[in-house]
Amino acid sequence: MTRVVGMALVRALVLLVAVSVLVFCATELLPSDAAQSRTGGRAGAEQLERLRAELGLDVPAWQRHLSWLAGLCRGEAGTSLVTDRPVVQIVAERLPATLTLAGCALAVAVPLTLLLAWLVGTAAPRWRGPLSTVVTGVAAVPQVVFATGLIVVFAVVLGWLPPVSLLPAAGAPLFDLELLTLPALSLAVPAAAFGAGLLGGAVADTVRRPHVRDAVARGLPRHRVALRHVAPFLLAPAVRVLALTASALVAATAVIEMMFGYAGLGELLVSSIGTRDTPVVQAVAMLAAVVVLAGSAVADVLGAWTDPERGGVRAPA
Amino acid sequence: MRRRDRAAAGLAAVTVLAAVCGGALAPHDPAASIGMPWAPPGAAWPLGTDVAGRDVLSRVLAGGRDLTLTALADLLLAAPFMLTALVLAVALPPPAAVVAGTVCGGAPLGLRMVRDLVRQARHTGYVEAARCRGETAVSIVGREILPSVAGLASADVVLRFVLALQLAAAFGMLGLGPQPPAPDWGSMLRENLAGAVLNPAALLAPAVALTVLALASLLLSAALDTSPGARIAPRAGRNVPSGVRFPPRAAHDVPSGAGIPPRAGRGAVQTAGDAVLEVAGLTVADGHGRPIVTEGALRAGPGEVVAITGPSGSGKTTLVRAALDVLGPGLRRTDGVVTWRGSPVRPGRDARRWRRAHVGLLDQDPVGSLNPLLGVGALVGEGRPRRPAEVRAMLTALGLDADALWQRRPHRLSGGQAQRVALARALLGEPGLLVLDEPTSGLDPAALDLVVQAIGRRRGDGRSVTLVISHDADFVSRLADRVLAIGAPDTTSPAPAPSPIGVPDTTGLDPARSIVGGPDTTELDPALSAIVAPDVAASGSPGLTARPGRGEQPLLRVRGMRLARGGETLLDDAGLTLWPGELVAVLGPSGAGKSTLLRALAGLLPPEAGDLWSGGLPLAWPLDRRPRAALRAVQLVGQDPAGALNPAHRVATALARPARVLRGLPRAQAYAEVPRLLRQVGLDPALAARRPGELSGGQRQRVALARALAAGPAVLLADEITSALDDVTAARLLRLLERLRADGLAVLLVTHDREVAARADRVLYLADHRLSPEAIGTETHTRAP
Repeated sequence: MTRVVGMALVRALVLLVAVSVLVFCATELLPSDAAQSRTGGRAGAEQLERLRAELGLDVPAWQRHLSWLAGLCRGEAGTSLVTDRPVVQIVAERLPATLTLAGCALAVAVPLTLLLAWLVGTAAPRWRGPLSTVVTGVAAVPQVVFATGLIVVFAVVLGWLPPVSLLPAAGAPLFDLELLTLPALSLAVPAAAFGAGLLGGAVADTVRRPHVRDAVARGLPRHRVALRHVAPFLLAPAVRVLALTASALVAATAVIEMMFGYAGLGELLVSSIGTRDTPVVQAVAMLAAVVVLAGSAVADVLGAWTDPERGGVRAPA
Repeated sequence: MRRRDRAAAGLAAVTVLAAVCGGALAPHDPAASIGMPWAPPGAAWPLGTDVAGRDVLSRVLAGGRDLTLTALADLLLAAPFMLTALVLAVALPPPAAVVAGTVCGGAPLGLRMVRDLVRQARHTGYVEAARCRGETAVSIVGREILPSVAGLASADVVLRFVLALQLAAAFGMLGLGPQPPAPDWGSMLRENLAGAVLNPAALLAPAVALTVLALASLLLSAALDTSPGARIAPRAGRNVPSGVRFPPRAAHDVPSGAGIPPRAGRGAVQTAGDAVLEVAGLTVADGHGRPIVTEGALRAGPGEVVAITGPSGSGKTTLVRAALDVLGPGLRRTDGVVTWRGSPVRPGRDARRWRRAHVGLLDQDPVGSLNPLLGVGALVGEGRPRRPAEVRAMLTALGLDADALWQRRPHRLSGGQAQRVALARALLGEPGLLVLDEPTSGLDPAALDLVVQAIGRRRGDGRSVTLVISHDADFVSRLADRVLAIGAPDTTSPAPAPSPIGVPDTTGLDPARSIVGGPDTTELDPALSAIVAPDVAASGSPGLTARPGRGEQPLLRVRGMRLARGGETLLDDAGLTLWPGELVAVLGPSGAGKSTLLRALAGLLPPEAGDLWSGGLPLAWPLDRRPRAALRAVQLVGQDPAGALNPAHRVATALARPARVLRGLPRAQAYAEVPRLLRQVGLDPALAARRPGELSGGQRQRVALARALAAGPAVLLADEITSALDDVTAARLLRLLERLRADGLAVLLVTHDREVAARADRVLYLADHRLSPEAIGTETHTRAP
């Protein structure tokens, strides 16, 4: 077990460093650098050189990457090129809004994934095909289209909910169902359909196992067969699928927050890309990467721990 | 490709084409303002105008181009790693191939998928068959792996396109797509969201366009994916019945005096009074409404032990499972009444409660029916209102140490212990009805003795009923008060009904047609014919059924074999001799290493130690050191009919290949043999043009057998070839083996079904690391707790 945890941690750390290189390279490749964007293109070559030296842009890229990483480890992410405020502060302001939205979306997506997967996996052969086609179809529809549909139906046609979710002034409670419902559903439903498509097959395989058939033959009540003989074998695949679903959902917050004008981290990321505010882009991207990698590391550990086939869960000898 | 798939592919092609080329059909310049913003649909603009007064229709027609092309470009970057990894899979060990594939692909989902595909590709029956033919790695990759994954890979490529499309749409929505005046479906959504009330079409049109493109791609992906797994799930209802079934003759009671007399001195059996269990008019139909059991009847008085016998395929298990309302998938009880102690038991909840309260069931594979996550105490006591003390008493009565084993899970029990745990569960609380399904096949002799004792206690207790399903007349005569013989379907079979999907399956191995001993059946290699040739010398080995008139040398002889799998020793110092024309069955509990033994003999998995001789000459274990004649002489048929055949190859291709590679026949001649091979296994030669996806499970298994026979082997290694088949098809396959043996073919048959083993000349029992003739070896239960 210690080995599994160690392996998961090492893998996550290696991937995190790789992601940091990727993020750094991607922001390096943006057409203009920080010195140019600060001076707004009005400075001469000499002035730019001076500013670059001042900002530390004249040292080689790998040195800057290392010092950036070192700064991250100390909890410093530089200052915004646009507002000159510390990046950590900007991110901290936006974090609660995104956490609330992602939390609400997960609260819907996780039960929905499990429910749909169960329905697909245990459906009679005649219904399984059509049902899984519908689930995959919902997963395949682009998320923006799905969100647009929700807005049209609930905000425009029915007028029940606001079409945009502008957050109230600072201090007001973040948890407002009226503002959260549409963005959370837009995040949750496609993610749940995607996860259910993956998990449904595992459910179908499990219910065909001989000990499940035997439990049915012994006349155990349905709920007991489900809880005791099917569910434990689904823990490992379910944890893996849910981790995937969660990371897909985190990635999708950027689009959904933009659509609904919801001032969270995703919106910050997209608008910072627009203003070429590289320190902010790097910080938000790394934060998202940490969340996703932590999720998959947890899933790996839990998966190994709950996987009966690998002898994970064992009674003490 | 099926018609529906062709339609899906056509639809997808038209959609993508429209998305890319739609701009040419635009009535207006997509970037020009031609009217008021968000004007509703009218004559000049069929879908109205958008935020800047531009024609929505023109923008939708033109807006798919960049998006689709961007998605296609993303796709080109993402797609090739899968194929690279698959090609690497054969040359490199699996971890290296996975690393290589993942380095190219990157995504964690990709890692999992590549790993699964690599594993799948290496271990499918068709790749192993190719390795057994001694084909080169290049030939295996080019001929077997690439064609078989082409469908899956292209389906995956299309799915990636859907993902890339989603990404591209999201980018457009975020304003990261093409620059503003250019039409783009994603940006159109963003621009026109605010005008949804004024002109909904401006918003709906790009939304519908995106949805149609995504769904059409999805349909295309499903159509391209021809892997058996992708097909079986939705078509299970069609695939379950293989070929044609014969409705078994109605069951008839044989009074104990007429058939098998009960042993003397048992005391009077109380059969007077009303029946405890009465089953009448029971009819079971398969998914197509064809009867499997008709008018099944069963009656058992208090204290009675009723044996249900009949040949394989007669439906005896189906009859009992239907009475208990626990039929397998694809079967349905259409008619019949079950009465227990005078009150009817309706199917559904009623039957479930009855089973829970009054029925104890011991399955054919009792060890497999134990939940691997539960401890012994929970396994035995579950679902019955019994105190732990009673459970302990029952375990102790069966010779188990209840305290030591209470928390232990099945994987830490020996085979014998696991059988007793299953038995304890069936016997706990003295169920009113005890059902034993082929107890002689799943239980070792010691556990079987316990069953016999338990039945002895129940007999004549004036209360309980015991049903024993068995084919074993000896066993039945020792135990049963009454024998219910179920008619043999293969003696008087009615005309075959039309097959389900118009498959011209020749149903059954018509003895007149499948030539036995004719000059052109199972022709043997000259060298091997010499071995098989009647040298008229009895085998010198003691303890073997000497088959006079057969070869002097054994076809296969193994000594001192040590087999291990994953660090666990399966077999130690095992020996085996196989004579021409012999059918030897290998029995043993699940996981004992029966399949590993066959794979070792076939050369796929060399053992750790041991010597092998073929026809008196030493033979190397690994495939690549075996001469062609030896590769040809030993053929393996696996358990899984779904993976045995390459989904990309037609039946004719699969059957012609062994003859070309192993017997060196020219192409035309190899193909000319295909119809004979198909007829030999009872299939219509017209099936030669089909691919495995268009065959039923039984047909696939018979094609796999035909492929093995195409090499003209001297030894057939058959691994549970009947377990995936329904009873009737299984019986046909076994009859075919009987006939082939008459021509000198030796068969080593791994099975867990004692009924199948009963047809063998000899039975070997593989348990506790030993391979022993069953009559001598009783299983020891000394494996360390």
